Amino acid sequence: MKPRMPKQRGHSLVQSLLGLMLSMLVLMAAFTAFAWVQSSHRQLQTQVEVQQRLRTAMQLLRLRVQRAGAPGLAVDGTGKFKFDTLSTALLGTPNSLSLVHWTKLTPADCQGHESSYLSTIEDAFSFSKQALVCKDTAPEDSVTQELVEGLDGLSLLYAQALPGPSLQWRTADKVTLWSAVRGVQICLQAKAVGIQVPSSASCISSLKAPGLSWHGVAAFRHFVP
Amino acid sequence: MRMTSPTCNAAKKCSETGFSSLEALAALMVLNLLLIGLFSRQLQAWQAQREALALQNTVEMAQDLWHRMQVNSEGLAAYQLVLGDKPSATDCQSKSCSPSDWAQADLADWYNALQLRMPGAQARVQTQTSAPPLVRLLLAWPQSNVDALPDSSAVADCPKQHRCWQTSWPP
Repeated sequence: MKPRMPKQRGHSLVQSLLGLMLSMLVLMAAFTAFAWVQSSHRQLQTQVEVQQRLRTAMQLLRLRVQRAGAPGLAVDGTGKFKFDTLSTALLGTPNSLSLVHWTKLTPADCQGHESSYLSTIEDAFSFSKQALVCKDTAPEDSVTQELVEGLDGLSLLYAQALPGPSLQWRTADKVTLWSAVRGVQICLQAKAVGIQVPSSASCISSLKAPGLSWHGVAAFRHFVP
Repeated sequence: MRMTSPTCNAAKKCSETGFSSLEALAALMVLNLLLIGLFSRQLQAWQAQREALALQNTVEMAQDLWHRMQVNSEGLAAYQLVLGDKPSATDCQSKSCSPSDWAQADLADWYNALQLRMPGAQARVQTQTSAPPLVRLLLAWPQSNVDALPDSSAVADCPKQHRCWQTSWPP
């Protein structure tokens, strides 16, 4: 006698198709959502990285400009204390900046090198090969080091105090008295691939390529009144 | 959940029913819930990172304003900005500016820099030169889901649908 086959009840074709369609919809929605989050995350990550470069460069310049020219304390011939001031602690061009510090107040230069025999150190910042670079103080075999890479441009303006009293932003070639400069306007631009940047955003007029542009002011606190 | 019985043979009658549609839908719902949970966590991480970036920018904008005020210490009293106002630009490059004009130009330039970093942001600057001299800065930037983030209702005058941050310092 032929054995009876057990009765098997699975899904019907319609049920299977419905289930498959629902699963597909859920998975499609999930993939779309994840793709959106991933792309937004990637864009944000790029923005963070670019801003980090600009921030590092801006903070570094601000810190050194702020400290430059700080007067040291000294004793004069009569035994009285006096302030040792530097006649010109700040000199610049449209894209380079030279800052002088007393070694006893700021022992390390912009590369972090300390000098035991120099009374003053000099930071020579400039823009070269898509980077903010700095030349150390060593009188011989001076070395230039890249401090912040991945920049597109650096542009500087100087706030000169004038009689009146009044102030004026001047380009380096128009500064008539460097000891009367009170601040530096720093404009930095970095490549921003994958970030939407307004077309009019650049603070460097000569730059046509879109990029993330930051400008800020660094106060030169120890100007000679 | 009913599973296929492995002991079916010719002598013993059994029925194999597999999963019912209801069970399959329940499983799909569980999968849905898991995916939604995962997605919302990712979204939260993304929002937190955006928030961190915005806060970093606010601190830097405050630092920038401080530096600007150091340059123009004579014009401190003129650094005033009402929340929601856009300061008018003054050209202090082609001609020299008095301390108060310089302050206006500074605020306009600072505001432009703020818009580049945080589009749609508003600022309020209050400078008090009488004792005790104090500068108060309030920054508000648009945020669609303020409820999902730490509360900023403690900041007075914070506009709706905005995140706010305020600070003060002696000039």
